[in-house]
Amino acid sequence: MEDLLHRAEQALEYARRAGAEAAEVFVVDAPTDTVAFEPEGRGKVALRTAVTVPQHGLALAARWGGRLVGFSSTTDLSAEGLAIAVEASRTASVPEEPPLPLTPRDHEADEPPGADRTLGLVDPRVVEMDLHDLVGLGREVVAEALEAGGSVLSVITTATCRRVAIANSAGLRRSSLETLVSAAAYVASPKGGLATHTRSSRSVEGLRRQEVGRRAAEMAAASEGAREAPRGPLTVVLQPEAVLSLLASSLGPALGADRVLAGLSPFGGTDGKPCLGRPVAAGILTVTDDALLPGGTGSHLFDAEGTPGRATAVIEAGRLVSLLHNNLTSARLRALTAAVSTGNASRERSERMRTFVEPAGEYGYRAGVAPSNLVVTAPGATYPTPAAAGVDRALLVTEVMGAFVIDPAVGDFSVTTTNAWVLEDGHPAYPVRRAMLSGNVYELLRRVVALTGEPADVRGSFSVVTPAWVVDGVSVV
Amino acid sequence: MSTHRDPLNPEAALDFALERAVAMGALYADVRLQDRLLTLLSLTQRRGRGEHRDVSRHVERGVGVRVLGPEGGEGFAATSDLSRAGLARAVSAAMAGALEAGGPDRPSTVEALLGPPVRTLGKAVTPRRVHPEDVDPSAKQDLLRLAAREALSLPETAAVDLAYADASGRDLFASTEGARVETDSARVLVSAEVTAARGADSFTSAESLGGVGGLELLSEPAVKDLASRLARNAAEWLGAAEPPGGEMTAVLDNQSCENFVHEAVGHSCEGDAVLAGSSVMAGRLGGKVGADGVTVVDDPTRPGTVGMYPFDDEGVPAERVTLIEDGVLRSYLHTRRTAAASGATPNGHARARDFGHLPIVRMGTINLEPGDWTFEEMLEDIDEGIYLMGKRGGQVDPARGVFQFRPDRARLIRHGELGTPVRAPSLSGSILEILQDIDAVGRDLRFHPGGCGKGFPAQVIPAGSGSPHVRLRKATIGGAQG
Repeated sequence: MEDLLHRAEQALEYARRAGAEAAEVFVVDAPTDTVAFEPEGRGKVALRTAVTVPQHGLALAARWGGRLVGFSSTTDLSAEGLAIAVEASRTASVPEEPPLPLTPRDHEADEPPGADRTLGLVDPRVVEMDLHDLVGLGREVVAEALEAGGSVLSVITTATCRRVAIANSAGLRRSSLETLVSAAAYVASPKGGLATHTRSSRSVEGLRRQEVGRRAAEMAAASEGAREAPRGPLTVVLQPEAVLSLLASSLGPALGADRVLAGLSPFGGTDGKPCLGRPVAAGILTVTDDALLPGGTGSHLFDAEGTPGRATAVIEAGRLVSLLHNNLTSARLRALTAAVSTGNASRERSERMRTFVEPAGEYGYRAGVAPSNLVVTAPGATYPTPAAAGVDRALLVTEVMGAFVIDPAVGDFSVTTTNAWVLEDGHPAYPVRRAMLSGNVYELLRRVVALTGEPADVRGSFSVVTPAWVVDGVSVV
Repeated sequence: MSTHRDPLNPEAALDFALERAVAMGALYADVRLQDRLLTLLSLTQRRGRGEHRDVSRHVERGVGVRVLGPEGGEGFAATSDLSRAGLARAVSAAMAGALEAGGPDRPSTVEALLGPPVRTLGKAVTPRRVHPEDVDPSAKQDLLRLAAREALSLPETAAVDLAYADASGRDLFASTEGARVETDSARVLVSAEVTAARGADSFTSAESLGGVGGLELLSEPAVKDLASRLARNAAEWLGAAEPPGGEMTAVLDNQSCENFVHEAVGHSCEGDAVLAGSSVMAGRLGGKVGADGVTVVDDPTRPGTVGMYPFDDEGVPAERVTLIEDGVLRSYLHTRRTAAASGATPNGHARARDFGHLPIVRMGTINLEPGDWTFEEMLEDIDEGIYLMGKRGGQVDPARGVFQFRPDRARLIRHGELGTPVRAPSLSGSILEILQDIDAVGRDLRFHPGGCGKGFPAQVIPAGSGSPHVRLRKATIGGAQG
């Protein structure tokens, strides 16, 4: 950590010497160990490969006189690499308004309350984990899948220790450590049912790895003998994984003030001002972006600009009450809405593949805006089962494919189910073959009539913590 | 976190890493060194709100090390620290992975694991006339401004969202078998999205341009033409009705079909999925998997396409591979490992996103070969159908044999004539069924750039694709909104 901060300070100093008036440096070192198991004939499953992928680089944004701001990144943290990055930032500078607003140094926020212990973002077991331990985790997932009667097509386990340091010329210094482990199983049943199940967690304990292989095997078995799906407008129960797929390319990015300012969100008016107070979802829905959710896979102590994380209600009882901000968007909207950064600066790669020639790591991206954990709730402390919620006949959908092409500005979707069942009297009656669901995500938000089942934390480019959604009138083709 | 002190020069770094791997007991090792510069620009302009520009420059420099351990396991690690200490750590990490993945049941000779030795010695410079690093970023910005002006010259255009990217530099490969390959490459791309709006209604049309080469691929007329075409599309599709849903006859234009070919054929013919039993194409070599007239090839040597490369990331010369010939499955795409395990010959399709990722089986530039139908002939006996145009992306599950893709826009077909524009629906289907449902292949083969994500961790790479128009007798279209 010391070395990361040292690199960040060194880059700041190089920028200052080269004439930068202000600068912000983000350094990340987040190697991910991945092990993959695959079938090797005669019913055996073998470890195919073990890899360590680095995510190691530095991002530099600097103000080069007046309103000129330049951004560069490098994976080469040698003195020569830093010097090239500084020069690249200078030559890449363009006018920006306001020019590079920085997170101020804030003594109270230098050590966010509770630090790692209360937020549960670090598991010492993951920090100390080596490839051998990770292989052991994978073998447990494989064993559970086999014991549940499945044939393993693949099992992949990963472990990441993400270290970040941020320094800026306003005197801010931040560093953090987070851990993340995941397990994914793709399993076939004896009669050709197929299913995947994936879990991520900050800790080995929270991964509940025994469930991953078993759940995939059970879902595969329950998918055997699939029939044609019913067609027409149907009540659909979307499991948390399916909700994440739909929200990842719609509500998630659309809540970002950067998209509202660019006119690329349905939550902005023609004047670029956010439509706060407008009904945007069913009245039962409340959505909170909670960066401080203990153990949340999207939680953070501070964001990619060093602003402390916090909980921000974005939709309350169906009404839009806030957007998500970084330093630039809050500065741009301050005059209109008294906005402040909500601590949602993110350098995760954009949800859209634009040119396919892009840096591999988060160091390669200027801080945009993204949710941390979108926590979806409805009135009441617990959520009933579909049967108890009064769901009679419906289509239960665990996961969909094709959602990543949704345009967040519009929200139209047309996706294909992978594992789905018809519910009768609220209980699974029979599995169905591929079906297409189509509609508009923002309209779908208004048609949620109930939340059902246990909330789950599911992770994509951000995390969603939600029970299943019961949605009326979804077009099934 | 390394100190990055005293980096070795590229050749010395390769030698050091290979020697270290051998000293640690590796059966085989290869090292890829990458030294690339990326320039990314974006320009967003909304009518009446001024423009927003971004420029960024990125240095991507590092080494990836792959080793085979004494018990046949494969390990990989990477570093951007080119000092002796940094390289030694990477080799040790790769070796640790190889030891974990090895076992007494595994083949323990390089030939059994990777097939015959690859001892390629070569140096290639990908063709380009105007190297992107010889052009100032401001001139690239001017290109985007030209496109924005052109798109906004149509009164219906409300917004233009443009991105430019170039990547250039050297990739070096060396192995303990004696291969040593150097590729000096450059790739340029422009991606454009144009939105037309009238009242609350809006429509966005998008497309990309570019490939392996220099800025000659992004000439002013070509970029202007792209912007103008997208602006006209967006304006014409304003107010378009929702598409119908259900099974119907579909005609796919070049881009829609190349998207389908990439998802449905390309991914299901990747040797790793086949070997793991995770593809519906497994066990079907020599069998009929498509209609007569369906021939699909993947050719990374096709000049100018975005998926062009002279050598793959295992040092194997890139090769044109016929996957399906007149409906018969002829071959899969292979790395050395998948080829060796399935008794095939490696065909130059091992690709890694960058030095930090392990090469896996990937497409280069895939295409459906042309037939002899004209567009008018395809339409003339369709009573009711849909014409799908452009591409916005797709997804496939090769094990289930199911794919989905979304075009950019669509038109209804009525009584053999193109009808009114409709918004883009998605097309979903069973790979093996839909390949049999192709009953007409056009003459007009064209290529376009695209991207492809695969693997865990995900590796997004540029991949080219091409196709003529085709007709599908029965396609499942996900249509009207609920």
